[in-house]
This record gives sequence, structure tokens and C-alpha cells, in this order.
Amino acid sequence: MRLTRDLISGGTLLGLSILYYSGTRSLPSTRDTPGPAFFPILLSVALALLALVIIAQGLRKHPTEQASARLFKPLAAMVLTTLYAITFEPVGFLPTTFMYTLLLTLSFGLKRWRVALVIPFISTAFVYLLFELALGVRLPMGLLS
Amino acid sequence: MILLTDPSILLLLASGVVLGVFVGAIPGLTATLAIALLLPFTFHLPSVQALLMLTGIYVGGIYGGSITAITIGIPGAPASTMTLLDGNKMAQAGKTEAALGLATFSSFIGGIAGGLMLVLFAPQLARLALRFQSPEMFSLILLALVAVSTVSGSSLTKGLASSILGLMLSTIGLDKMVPVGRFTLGLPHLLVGIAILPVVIGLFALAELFCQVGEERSKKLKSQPIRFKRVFDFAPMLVTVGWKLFAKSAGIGAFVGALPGAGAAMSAFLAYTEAKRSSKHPESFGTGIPEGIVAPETANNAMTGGAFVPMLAFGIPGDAVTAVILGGLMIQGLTPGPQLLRDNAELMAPLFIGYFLAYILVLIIGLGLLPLFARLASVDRVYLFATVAAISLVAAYASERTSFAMYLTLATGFLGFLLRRFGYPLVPVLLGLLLGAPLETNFRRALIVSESSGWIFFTSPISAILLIISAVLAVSFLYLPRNSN
Repeated sequence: MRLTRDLISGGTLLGLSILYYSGTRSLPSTRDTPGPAFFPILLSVALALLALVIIAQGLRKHPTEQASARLFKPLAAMVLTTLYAITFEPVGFLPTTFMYTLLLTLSFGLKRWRVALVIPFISTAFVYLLFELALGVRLPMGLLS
Repeated sequence: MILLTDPSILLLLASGVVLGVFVGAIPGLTATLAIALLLPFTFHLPSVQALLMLTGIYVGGIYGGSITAITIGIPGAPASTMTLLDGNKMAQAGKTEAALGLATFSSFIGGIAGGLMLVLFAPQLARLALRFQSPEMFSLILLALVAVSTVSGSSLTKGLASSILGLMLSTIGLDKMVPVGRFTLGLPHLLVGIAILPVVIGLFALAELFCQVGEERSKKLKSQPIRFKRVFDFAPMLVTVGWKLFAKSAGIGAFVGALPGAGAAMSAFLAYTEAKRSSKHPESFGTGIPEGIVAPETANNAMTGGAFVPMLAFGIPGDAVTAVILGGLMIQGLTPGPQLLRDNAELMAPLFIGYFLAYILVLIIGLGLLPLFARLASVDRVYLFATVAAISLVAAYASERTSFAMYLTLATGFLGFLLRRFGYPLVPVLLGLLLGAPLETNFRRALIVSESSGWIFFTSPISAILLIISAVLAVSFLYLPRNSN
């Protein structure tokens, strides 16, 4: 049996519905009238049923050859974005935004590296002007403050 | 009438239209992404101004997508896929200006027709909806969620699963009726619930970028320069097309728009198919004939007016972009739904006038600045990715002034990427998050009134009819042939 997209996603959703259901156990139960746990319990049951249908569909379908998905670039973008979000406040807007846009552009495999080096300057300045000056948002200065 | 006397409002509307066309005309940047990114910039504006700017971006963004489709043969947005067929053929035959002019004029006609539908139906429906009580509101929202699940993806089960994920997100935070925190994972930030803006940016901007990064880069794009004096070449073609096609396509577009979640792409597809079916020369479609541009462009712009109808009347958006606009209204502190037209009557006249003005601006700006916009179509999106990504995250930070909002955007960006990779639609997730609270509150309130008897949803005739429509919609989905996108 090959793991298809339906089997993986259906299984994950089933696990998620159980996890979500366990979160309702700690909620106070009310007699007679539907309380805080009532609607979430219905949701978890509905999601579990849908997940089972998706899994069943996945078992019935013959796995078709899928175009090999490119995962490297999206993964690189996700890792860089995570690092950006974590360092944004402690390190500060200017250095993190510069590094983020530089590394992100390079990770796309832009061949013209001279262009790739100009982009972070322009986009950091643009984002700064947009938020700090036009919208009056105080961006964190971090280490530079 | 304030509109016509206050130039700053007009300027805001115009800048919305230009921004929308600008983003829409760049390949890979859609109207939904444009609205998601530009939403933070409407925060500090008063409600009327914010609503008008969002309307301008919406209208401009839908129109902008067709420029890319015609000049370089890549749809700027899914809505322009059908325009590409004949539009790009006509451009290859050296009649780029005529094709673009035709698209602009059709957009204008479609938009005005959609606006008429908006003015005629939204207040009437809202008056009807004001009589709705808890059971009816519950059934109506349920119908909306079923409808959006059926039309927005290729699988009903996956669409429904997406809606439920959205509903689950909406249950995070303080219970609306009993002061108990739910699913907060011990995080104080989650006690107030999931903030809408970071989720919108995550699902429709960041996830979009993650997906596009993995796609093959297209070859060097070249578009021919546009000569301004030839922009009006399309006018003689209108005679051969005739008014009937405009009227029919506008009707299809406005109707599809009013269905929750159906959106621009489907309205354009249906109008094109119908134009081809009823044509005396169906074989010439796809070879670059004017009808092939008029039908989809009229329809997908009439759709915008139709999509506003259920959003204003019931608080249920008609497509992805209006869903984001609904989120914007909620951030502004307005409660969408039948109360909106009653409690915020001062918003409606400016919105109606602004909507028509936006389309007049599309006609003027579109034709006047065509040579400039046509150049945007050859911009390589790779140059813009990093800037768009940085704006997404900083916008999330700015909306709540905490890093937590950035983490939320990041998490929903991952979620959106995974959902799309596994074939789940994203619009139902947003709709579930937006409509979760009213759905649950009306559900529980109805059950309290009826002393926990589920029959209350069937003894009310309106509620029963709405529930039957939901069931019919879901069942018919299983038997109807569908276009794959």
C-alpha cells in the first residue's frame, strides 16, 4: 500500500480531531443547556467522520503517479521566514529584514547576483518607509536602539 | 453625496483602484493577495474610507489580472484564465491594444451591471434577513459553509474538512456565552481569540508565496509595447459582438457572485462556455475573437457586485476577496450581517456610489494608463517575492504590535501551504473562522429557547428550507460533472 495524499491528510485530520476532542474534556459541562464543550464536540465528531471518508477514498483510488513536488525551495523559504519571525523583535527590524530579503532572494536561485544584492536594500527601505513613516508604526529597533 | 464633494475620499478610491490594477497586473500576484496585503493600510482610516479603498483594490485587482492574460498569456489571477484563450491569440495577431481595450470596456459594463444588482437586491435581502432569528441564522450560515465547501474545491469532503478546521480555529479563546477560555494552550494571547488579520495574511499571502516558490520559473517574458493611439481600436468590434452577450454574461456573473465562495474564476468559465454554446460559430472560439474576451471579462466583473450582495445582506461573503473584506469590516468593529445595513446605514450610500465610481475609474485609468500597466505584465515575480514576504510579516506585526501575530501568520502560512499541497481549499477555512462565532452562538441560543430540541430548526419554515437547500447542494455535488478548475 502506497501512502497517497488522501491517506496522509485523512490520517492527520483524524489525529487532529482526537486531539481537539481531548481539549474539550477539561471544559465545564452544563446540564440541560448546551455549554462551552457542546459545539466543539460536534465539530470533532464531524471532522473525524470526514477524515474517515477521505481515508476510504484514498484506499479506493489507485495511486497515480504524481509529478515530483519541488520541496526544497518552499522549505528553505519556510525556515528563513521562521528565523525572521523569531529574531524580528530581539534583534530589530533593520538587520533582520535585510538578511531575510537577501537570503530569500538568493534561495530562489536568482542567477543575476548583482540584482539579488540590490533587492534587500530596496525592499528594506521600502518596508521601513511604508510602515514607520507612512503608517506611523513603531518597528522594533532591537540591538540598534 | 459627501463623496463627490470630498476629494480626499475620491483620491483614496482612485489609489485603491490603481494599487489593485498594479498588483493584479503582475503575474502571480492575485486580487486576494493584494487585499490581504493592503488590509493593514486601511486600519487607521475611518470605516467609510476603509471600505471604499478596499472596494477600489478589489475592482482594480480583478481587472488587472486580465492585462497579464492578454499581453503575455499568463493569467494574472485565476479569474482571467478564460480571457487568456482569445485575448492572447488576438494579441499575437498584433491587435494587443484592441484586446486590452475590449477587456477594459467589458469590465466596465460588467461592473456597472453587478452594481445595479447590488443596489437592487442587497437592501431587500437585508430587510428579509432582519426577521431571521437564531434558528434561521444558524441554517443560513450552515448553508453558506456547505455552499463554499462545494464550489471552492474538487472534493466535497475536503471542502467540508477545511470549513471545520476554520470553525475549530474560531472556538479558540473565551466562550461567547460562558466566561471560560477554550483551547488556549495556556497562552494568554489566545484568550481573546484568533486575530483575523494575521490569519488572512498567512493563508492568502504567505501560503501563496510558499506555493509559488516551488513552481517552475517561467521563461523570459516579453510583451509588445502598447501604442496609446490604438487603444480605441476595439470600438468597431462592439458592433459585431452586440449587447445580448454583454447582458447574458453580466447576468451569469452577478448570479454566480452571489453564491458563497463561487468567485470570479467560475463566473468567467460559465459565461465563456455559455457564449460558445449559444454562438453561431462555436469553432472560432479560442482563435482570438472579441466574443471570447467580452463574455468572461463582463462576467467576472459583474461577479464583484454580486459577491457584495450576500456579504452586506447576511454577513456571508460571496468570494475569497469579499471574505477578506468582511474580515476588514470586523476589524473596523462593524458587525456584518443584516444589522449592518440597519445600524450602519451611513455606510451604504457611499459604498454603492463608490462601487460605481470605482468602475468609472477602471474605464478611465484602464484606458489612459494601459501602456504603463501592460509593462508590468513582464515583471519577473522573483524580484518581488522577498519584498512581499517581508511586508506580509511586518504587516502582521503592525496589526497587533506583538511578535505573537507574526507567529500566527507563520503558522497559518504553513497550514495554508500544506492544505493546498494536499488538495484542500483555503477559502472555507477563512469563512469558518469568520462565521464560527455567529454559527455557534445562534445554534446554542436556538437550542436553549427550544429546551434542547433539535426540531426547532425544522419547525421554522425558512430554516427548514435553508437546510433542505444545503442538503440538495451537497448531494447534487456528487452527481454533477465539474470543470477541474
